[in-house]
Order: sequence, then C-alpha cells, then structure tokens
Amino acid sequence: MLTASSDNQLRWLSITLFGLVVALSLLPCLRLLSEALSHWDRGLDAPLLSILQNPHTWVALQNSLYTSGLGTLISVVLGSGFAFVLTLTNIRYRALWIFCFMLPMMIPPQVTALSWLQLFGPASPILNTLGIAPALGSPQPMYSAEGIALLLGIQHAPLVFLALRSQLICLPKDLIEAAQLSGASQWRLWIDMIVPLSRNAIFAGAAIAFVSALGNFGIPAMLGIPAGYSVLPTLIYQQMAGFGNDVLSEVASLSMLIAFLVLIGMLLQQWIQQRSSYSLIGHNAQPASFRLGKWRIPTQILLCAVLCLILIAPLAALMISSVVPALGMPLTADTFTFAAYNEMVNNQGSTARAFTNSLLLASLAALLLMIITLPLGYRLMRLSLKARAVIASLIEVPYAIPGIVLAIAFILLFSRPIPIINVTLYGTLTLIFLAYLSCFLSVCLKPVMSALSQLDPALEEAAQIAGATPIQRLINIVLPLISPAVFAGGLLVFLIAVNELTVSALLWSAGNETLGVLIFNLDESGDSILASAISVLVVVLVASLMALLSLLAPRLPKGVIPWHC
Amino acid sequence: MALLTLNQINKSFNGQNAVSDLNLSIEPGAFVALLGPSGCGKSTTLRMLAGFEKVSSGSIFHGDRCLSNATTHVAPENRDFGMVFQSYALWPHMSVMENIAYPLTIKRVDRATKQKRIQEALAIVQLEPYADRSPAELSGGQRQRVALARSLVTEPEVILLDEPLANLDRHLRATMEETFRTFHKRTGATMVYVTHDQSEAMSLADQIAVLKNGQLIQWASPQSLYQQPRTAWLADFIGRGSVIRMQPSDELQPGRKVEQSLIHQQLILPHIPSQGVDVLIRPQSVCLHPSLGISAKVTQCIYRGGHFDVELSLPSGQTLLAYHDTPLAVGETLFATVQEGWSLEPDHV
Repeated sequence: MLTASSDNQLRWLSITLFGLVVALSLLPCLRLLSEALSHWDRGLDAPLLSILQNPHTWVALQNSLYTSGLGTLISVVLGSGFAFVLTLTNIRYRALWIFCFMLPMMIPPQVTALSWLQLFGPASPILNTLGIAPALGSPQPMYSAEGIALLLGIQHAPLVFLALRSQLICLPKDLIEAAQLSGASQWRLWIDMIVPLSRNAIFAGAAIAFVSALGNFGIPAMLGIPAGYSVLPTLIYQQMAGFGNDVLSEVASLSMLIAFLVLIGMLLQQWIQQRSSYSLIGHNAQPASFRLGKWRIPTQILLCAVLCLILIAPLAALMISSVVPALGMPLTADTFTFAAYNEMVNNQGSTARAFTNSLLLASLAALLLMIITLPLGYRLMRLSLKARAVIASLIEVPYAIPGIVLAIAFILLFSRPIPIINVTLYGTLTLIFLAYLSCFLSVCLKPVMSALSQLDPALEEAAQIAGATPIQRLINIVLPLISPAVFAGGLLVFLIAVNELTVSALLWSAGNETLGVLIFNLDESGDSILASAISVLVVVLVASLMALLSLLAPRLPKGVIPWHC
Repeated sequence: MALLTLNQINKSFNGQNAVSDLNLSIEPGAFVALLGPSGCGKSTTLRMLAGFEKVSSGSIFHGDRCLSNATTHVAPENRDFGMVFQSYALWPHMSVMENIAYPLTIKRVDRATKQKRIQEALAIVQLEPYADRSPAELSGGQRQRVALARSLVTEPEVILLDEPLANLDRHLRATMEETFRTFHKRTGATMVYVTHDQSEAMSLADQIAVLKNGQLIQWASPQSLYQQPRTAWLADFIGRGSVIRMQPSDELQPGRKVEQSLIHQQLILPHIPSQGVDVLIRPQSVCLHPSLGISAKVTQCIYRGGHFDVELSLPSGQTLLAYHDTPLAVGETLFATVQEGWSLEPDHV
C-alpha cells in the first residue's frame, strides 16, 4: 500500500546507490590490493618483493620525496605569504588577487610545465624575441629535479593558501582588538595570536600539498622523462611500456607503494586538522584586518611581481610560442602567424579528435555525476554521522590516490573481457569514462553534501506531512533548493575532467586520446608550437569556467567554490 | 472524528530516556497543550505523533488505526495530519499560493476543489492579497499564517503545532493567539500544541499535559493545574505563589484543600519542619491587614504594573508572596490572613 511504496522507494534507492558506490569506489581499490599481494607462493620472486629489491624503485622513491619535499617548501612560502597578505590586510582588489593566485591550481600540470619550458632555454621564443636567449647548446634548466620541484611548488601553493586562509578568516576582529587594548605590540600580536593559529593550518596545507606533489604526473613527465629523472608516477608509466609476465603485478605493487605514502600523508593531515579545529564557526564578527597604510602600494607591487613571475611570464611565453612558425624563432611582425591555431581548427586529425574526446568525456561525466550525486547525497544525509563519514571517505579514495594508481586499478579490473556480455573495455573511451566517474564522484558530491547539510530539515518534514513520497520530496523540494550546488559540482567536474592527463595517459589508445594526452604527446614529439596553441585555448577555457563559477558563487553555500570568500 | 491515544509510550535515544511511560487520551476536537521546560520530551512526543520518530515501546492509536508501535510505523506522509513548524518551513522557491496548494497537489485533488480550498484557507488567515508573493517578502507573522493555512487545507482531523509562536515578538504573539483560537473554533480539528510558555498554554488549551524529564506530571484543565497542581515543582512552574512546608498530621494529606485554621496554626510555628507536607498558597488567597492575622515582616516590594508583589518573611523564615495595591516599606511588620491552600505531593522526578 502507500506505506510500502514509501519504504520501498527508499530501499531501492539505497540498493542502487550502494551498488554504484561499491562498483566505482571500492572495487578498483580492492582489485589493486589483491594484485599487489598476489603470487606469494613465488617467495622472493613475488612481484611485490621484486619491486622492493629493484634499485630503480628506490631511486624513484628518493627522487619523489626530494622533489615533493622541496616543492612543498615552495608551496608553503608562496601560499602562506599570499594568505597572510590577502586575508589579514585591507588590500584592495582582493577578489582579483585571489582569482589570479588560484589560477595555477586549475591550470593542468602539463600546460604549466609546457609554459615554463617555453620560458627558458635557447629555443625559447620569448627569450629570442627579447634578445636574451642563451647560446645554442646550453641546457634547458627546467629539465631538472629543481625545475620539477619549482613547478610542483607553484601548482600546489593554492592548496596551502586555502588551508591557511580558511583558518585566518575565522580570526575575529575583536580578538585582535582585545589584544591591542591589552597593550600588545604588532610584533607580539603576530607571535602570540596569529602564528599559533596559523601554525597548524600551515602544516595541514603542507600535508595536502606534499600528497598532491607525490601523485602529480604531468609535471615530472614533461620535465623529468627527457632528463632521465624518474619519480614514482613516471616510473609506473614507463614500466607499463615494458614487457614481461609480471608487468601488471609489479606496476600494481609500485602503485600500492605510492598509495601507502599518500595514505600516511592524508592521515597526518587529518590528525593535524583535528588538533587545530578552533571552533569559531558561526562567529559573526568581522575578520581581522590590519591597515597597510603607507605599505599598501609596495605590497601591491610585490604581489604583482610575484604573480608576474609565477603566472604571467609563463603564460606570455606560451602565447608567444603559439604564434611563431617554429621553435627558436623570435616573434616579429613578419614571423607572427596563426598557423598553429588554423591547424587546430581545420585539421581533421588527432587534434580535433582529442578535443572532441575530452569535451565528450567531460560533459557526459559531469552530467551523469550530477544525476547520481543528488539522490546519493540525499540518501547519505539520512545515515548516522559515522556511517556517512565512512562512506564519504570511501568515495574520496579514488580522487585522493594518484591518477596513475587509479588507472592501474582500472586496467586490472578490465584487462579481461567482462563476463556474460563478453565485451572488452580495455583501450576504449568507455574505460576512461568509467575511470573519470570513479575519480570525480567525490568532486561532485562535496558541494551537494554541503548544500544538503545546510538545508533546514523542517522543509522536507513539512513536505512529508503534506503526503509527499521520498522521490516526490527529492524532485519538488530538495532539487530546486540545491540545484546551484549540483550545477557547480558538475561544472567543477567538467573543468577538471577536460584537462585530465594522468588517468588517460595510461588508458588511452590510438584514436582515443584526450586533450591532456595530446599536449603531452605533441611536446614529446617536438611539436611544441601546436602544443602551445592548444594550451593557450585550455587556459582560456579554464579561466572562463572559473569566472563562471565565481559568478555563481553568491548563490552557493560557503566553501563550494574554493577560491571565493 | 476519532480519539487520539498514546499508550505507555517510551522513547529513548542512545540509552537516554527522552519519554517514559506516557499515557494520554486526546478527545476529538480538543485543544491540547504539551507544556514543559526544555528537554522535557514534549517535542519528541509531538514528533512521534507526526511520525518523524518511532516509538521505542508503547503504541499510538488514532481511533482504531494503529499509527505506531514496536513493530509497525505509519510514515508521516500517510497519517493525514497537518503540522505547523517552529521555523514555519515555507518552501522558498514556491509562492504563498503554491505553498498552500502543495498538499492538495500531492493528493491529486481536482483543480476546482483545490482552488476553492486554497481561497478558503487564505480567507481564514486573511492573506488573500499575498497569494502570489514569495515567502521571503513576508513578515514573521505573515509567514506563520501561511504555515497555518497550509496545515488546514487538506482538512485534517489532527493538527500538530511545534512552538509556533516562539520566533515572534511579544506583541505579535498576543494577536496570533487570537488567530489560533478562531482557527480552532472554525475547523473543529484536534490541535496538539507544544510550548514552554505556560501563559500561552493556559490561554489556548482545553487540557494541558505537563511534562518534566520525559514524564507526565499532570494532565488537567488549565484551572485545575493552577489551583490544584500535583507537585511542588508544578506549583512553582505554573503561576506564582508560595510553597510553605508544614508539619505532617492526619488532616494534612497531599492533594487536598487546606483550610484557613490549619494554615494559620502552621504559619506561626517558629521553625521549618525537617519533614513535612508542602502546601501551595496563591497570592490571591493572602490578605494583608495592619492588625489582624499572622505577624510577618516585609522583605521586598516590587511594582508589577497595577499591583505590587510583596514578599513577607514568616516567623519560621519561609517566604509568603502577596499582592498589594499600594507600596509598602521594607522592614515594615504586617499581619496576613490566608484563605486557603492546596497540599502538594513530593517531587519524584
């Protein structure tokens, strides 16, 4: 009867969603684990042990730790510097500074690497144009461990920025004023109030940055492979090209190694975060703000200079590279040409295909995830806090682990044809699509959960009293009220998926390349001009989508758009 | 219209008892108030009636229909009740008319009947010109009236109200109380009204259930509660008065009216008895006189707008509250006579 139908609806919803979460989030991890721990009967020849005995592994591990560590240091300096200035002072155009600083985080790593490559070396078009290019034959300074570390640092500085900023924003004005009234000097204010509050946030941000740097593929791939400098993700990538019975198992073991390191980093970050949760939520007071006075102009100049170095110069180099006929040529009125862009638009070859593939994959993934996360979030809200936390963490895993590791897991799952329907997904676009679904589920779910948790429960209860079944409530009441958050989630997924390189680097095959893979391949094969042109378009796309999200931000619950406060 | 009964209801959350052994029988068409301090279990009881919480044990019946017991539970969407929430719970993406129409839309009522019912509902709460506005454009009182209109539009037998006036200012509350009274007369529905404000409960309800720590202290009419409260705590909670401890005797049993002679015998005793029976004396029963009665000293005299609250200190040291028209000096000695009192049971909870 009516009673049964309400409960039934909820039960079917739960089963479907639970099945989805298991398939997308749990299966890949379990498969990876089982493969890594396989073949124990072979004793010392077991894949896991042979990997641990291989000196390459240890070199790559050392390199990973070095570049990630150095990169994290750079991220901390940049990120905290910007966070202090942009949060605690009354600097003007704050939103603009924040937008520009967050841009490197959203620009895909391969584009970042490519743009910096165009900035240095004898073949650099911008240096040639300015007449300051080094002599032919001098080395490309970016092809080094320090080059990798620098870019990792810049790419992940916004993560430290966000972690610190969210803590500093909670510092209410009257706390500072109370300290000033007690006679504290500027110096003591910093030592006694601000540093203790920020210390833990900086550590937490550093942990996230370190973990992201460990799993980053695009930057060490573009900068390290040509120099023969390998880190763990690129080692896996290169091993996949190798032969032998145990390639998959060995690669799975390597993946587990990275996953293990990442897990430790994440646990460390969570532990630090819990220790420092100053409960200042709901504080209505204005955030603290120091008046810069005569320091305002110099500070703005400083920020501008830093942004020029880390953002504008590389982008300028990229743009110049895209309009010269060939590498090494200076840009003059004669050499200026749109040939690269023409080729992109008119050529029916791999470029157009890659664009189509990426746009298709990203839009379909965004659409499907939007449809899935609404009922999923709705169902999760009805669970106890503990159960919800466990399932949310589970869903988070495919996004948190390095893309390389996820790709390996999917290869393992689908290397053989699916039973019963006898369809092989390996090497198809569908496999990349499924991997995207698994990877980005949490990206779409977070804004939805955030919006759902801020919804007054009485709104739904009133609909229940009026006689509405769970599906009716979901469509009539919940969906209209949280649709901005659902849309934002979809947009975020689209933004990240369209530029994705790491997962598709291992899953692509001829005809199925994505935009990220295309840029990477073009650079590897020496066609940096075309790669630059595509990258310029990518940057324009990223900046426009970020701007669109910023416009949407006032209608969204706080925290959905990371760079908007 | 059917009887609404709660039988031996128990509800616990994580081992903590929110409601214990609650028995209530609500007549059809009655206006019942669930009254008590925060945490007494009144909202939990209302939510169990609505179906948002399951009962841990016991049963809820509406006529012959079992709404909730240890094994079955009818979901809120199937109970055909109306409810007014403390936060009004108006859907912000719908207009006033769409908010009110929603229960009828869900029940697939035909358009003609739906329009008629909506217009009637708007007329009862006097919000016809606001039909196309959005809830964000309305004041608190207006939103409350929309919530009220929405709750009656399906003509339910039972309407539940969860502290509906808590978010309104004092002046508005008085107006809204009148609205509720008219509303109840007009619809004839059974209304279950949760509040922590005893004056609200007294002015609106036919029967009041007073809850404390999850247990029912007393289930009576407002007058009975005021004049004949069961326990000392209740005497303190409802209205104003003095609770005087008196020496036990055969005539002094709990739950009885205490005559003037006995009261006067006890009031002149010089000490507070270590064990005894508590007796409630309402200030209306106390008369002050310059020479007749029991000697008492004025310890406080506070103006309350219209009369003065006078606190008197008795020979035993206990305090007696009285009303007086003119101010009295602190320290002045007066004489007081008490008409009657009511003896109280000791508190168990």
